[in-house]
Amino acid sequence: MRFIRKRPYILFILPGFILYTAFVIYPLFSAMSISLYEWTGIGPKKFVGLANFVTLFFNPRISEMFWNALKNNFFYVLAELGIIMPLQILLAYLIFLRIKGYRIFQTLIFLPCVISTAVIGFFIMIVFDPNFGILNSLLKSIGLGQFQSGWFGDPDLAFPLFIVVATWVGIGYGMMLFIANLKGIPEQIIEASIIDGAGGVQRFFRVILPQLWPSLTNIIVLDTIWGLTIFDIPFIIGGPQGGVNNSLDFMNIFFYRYAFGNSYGGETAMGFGASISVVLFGLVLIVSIIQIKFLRNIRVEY
Amino acid sequence: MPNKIWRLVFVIGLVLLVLQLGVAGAKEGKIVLRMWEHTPQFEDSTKALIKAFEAKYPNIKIELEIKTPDQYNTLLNTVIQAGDAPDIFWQNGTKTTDLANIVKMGGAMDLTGKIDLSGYDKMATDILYINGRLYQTPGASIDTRAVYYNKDIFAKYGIAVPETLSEMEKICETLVAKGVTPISFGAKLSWNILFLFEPVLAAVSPDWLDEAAAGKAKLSDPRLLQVFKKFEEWADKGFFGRNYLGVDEGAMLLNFSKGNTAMCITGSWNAETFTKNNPDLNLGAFQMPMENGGRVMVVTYSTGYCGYAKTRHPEEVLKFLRFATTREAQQIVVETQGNVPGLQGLKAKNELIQSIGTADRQVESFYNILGFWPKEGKNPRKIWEEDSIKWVSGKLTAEEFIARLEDAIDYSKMK
Repeated sequence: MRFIRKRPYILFILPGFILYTAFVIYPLFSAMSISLYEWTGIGPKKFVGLANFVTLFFNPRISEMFWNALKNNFFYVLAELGIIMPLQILLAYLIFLRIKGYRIFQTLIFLPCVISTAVIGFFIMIVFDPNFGILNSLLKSIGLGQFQSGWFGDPDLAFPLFIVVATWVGIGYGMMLFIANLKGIPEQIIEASIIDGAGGVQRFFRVILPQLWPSLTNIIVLDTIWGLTIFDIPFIIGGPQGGVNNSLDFMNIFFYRYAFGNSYGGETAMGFGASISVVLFGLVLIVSIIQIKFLRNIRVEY
Repeated sequence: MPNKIWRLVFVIGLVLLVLQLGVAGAKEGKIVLRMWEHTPQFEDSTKALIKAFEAKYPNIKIELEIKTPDQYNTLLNTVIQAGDAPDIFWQNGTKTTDLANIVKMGGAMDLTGKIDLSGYDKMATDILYINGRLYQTPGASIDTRAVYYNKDIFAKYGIAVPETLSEMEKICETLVAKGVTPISFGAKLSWNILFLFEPVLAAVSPDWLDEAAAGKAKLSDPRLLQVFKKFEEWADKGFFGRNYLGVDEGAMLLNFSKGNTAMCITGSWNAETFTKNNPDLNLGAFQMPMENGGRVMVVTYSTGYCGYAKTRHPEEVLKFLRFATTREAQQIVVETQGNVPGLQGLKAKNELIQSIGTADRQVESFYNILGFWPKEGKNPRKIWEEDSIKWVSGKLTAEEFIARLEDAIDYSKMK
């Protein structure tokens, strides 16, 4: 008691620490432990050492799927940072400038963020279904039937289309963060830049953009983590097999298929699934640490 | 004062609600079982079965949840791992790898000696055993595949039901020339590829199927490659339309039901789905004709249900499973589902079902054969499930796909 009385902060930390340990730290170490076993999820476990990792990296059939899923995650992160984020900044700036109808645009752009993923999946089906989708019907009705496609069923089109859908769904969230950040920029700074003769473009790149650095760093890190852990939308579109030719397969779907499905030679493979989750965790951790260190060292001047 | 009145009204209302719930609960006094079915196509027949069961056992209530086939087994594995599985769930026996996996996880109730299987065909019951123990109830229907056709479209173009495989191909060519998609197809799920591929295989090379089932023919046999090539040829000629990749089963069936295509080659259990989708559809069906005439039918038996090993109501679950095995219950399923009867004494619902069950020759399912002699640690059926889409999409050639399948088969196990 004396120990705690001298350190009262422990009482405040303890509830959070217990919950965090139970729901984050324990599952993490548990997954690491399970990855060393052959286990269906129920019943006895058989210790296999690093065999699950060896299978993951060196079994030609499985490693092909693993690298494909990882590649898709990587390209999705690139799309988030290279396409979605710049669009978010641009839209946030236009709304910040109060262009005509900006309130409606703001609502419309943010709307997909409040729609559940299942409903988004339904919208996607309505638009892109090869037989009944609006898009193919429209193309046929205007005499462009030759451009009808299987859309998400076409392995070459599925990923780019997914990026379009992900942009539509996710653009509003980051945009709102940027708008909040823009509203916090002191007016004097913008006025000073105008007096100094900065044009619109120059003002955006030299004054506004650097001021967005706090939001930008957060969104870069969060987008990367989301990008590496995406599951819901590609799963709804492509199913547990990750679409035609695994074109929409991502690490989390790959994990789900093996840990809970019976893709591992017809059996549920919790141990092998855990090895995928350990690799994914390590990847997210390393990338996040590098990003945070790198971004922290950048000094923004304006 | 008004506030007090409102509070009083609220409290009285709450008390009445609690009392009502209590009375309702006491009145019901029922044991509730949770049940999962794997596809909306079985919804009506399962509901009819439950209704008959509940009429017979009024103290048991069954709450049915219908899942979708692409996610069913993954979800089921998840809830079994979580220790919260439904009391009763559908499984496909040894026809797929799922039941064996569930048994390995300790998720299925051992029914050995608890279910009366007398009267059932050996072929229908053999698929219910894992390591010599019974884990699920049988089905009394033949799960075959059939060519469903739109009689109006056939009549419009003066087409008669084909008597040979060449005639079948000629019909498809005629339809393509007229701008009509001959066969509705969806390749998002490997199952739909299988249910189209198997009748083509049965029609082109029934002898290979018989020999392979007897352990006397290999996958590298040129006769099998010929079938894969025939399937590719049909796709190239536009017999399946243009955009079938990524189309799921629901859309595939709907496309035919709406009259957008002339035929659909799929499971016999889908007969009711077509008429449910479109009651005005002028539907006919036939078994695939072979090259030299005569019709061939891929035969597998339907299956029933498993009990959850850790159910809190094992007696009630057993009551249901026993009921589901009775002739009375099977007649309900056969009639509601529109299945081909596979048990003597059961009656087919109508002429359509009779025509599906009419063939000159019966053959084993290709998918079943794939599972007869697996290599240790490999599973050729799983390879079919994962790679058949890659073959249909052109990512794998027929030769590469067959080689992958063959790599998972241990021919030394053949007698």
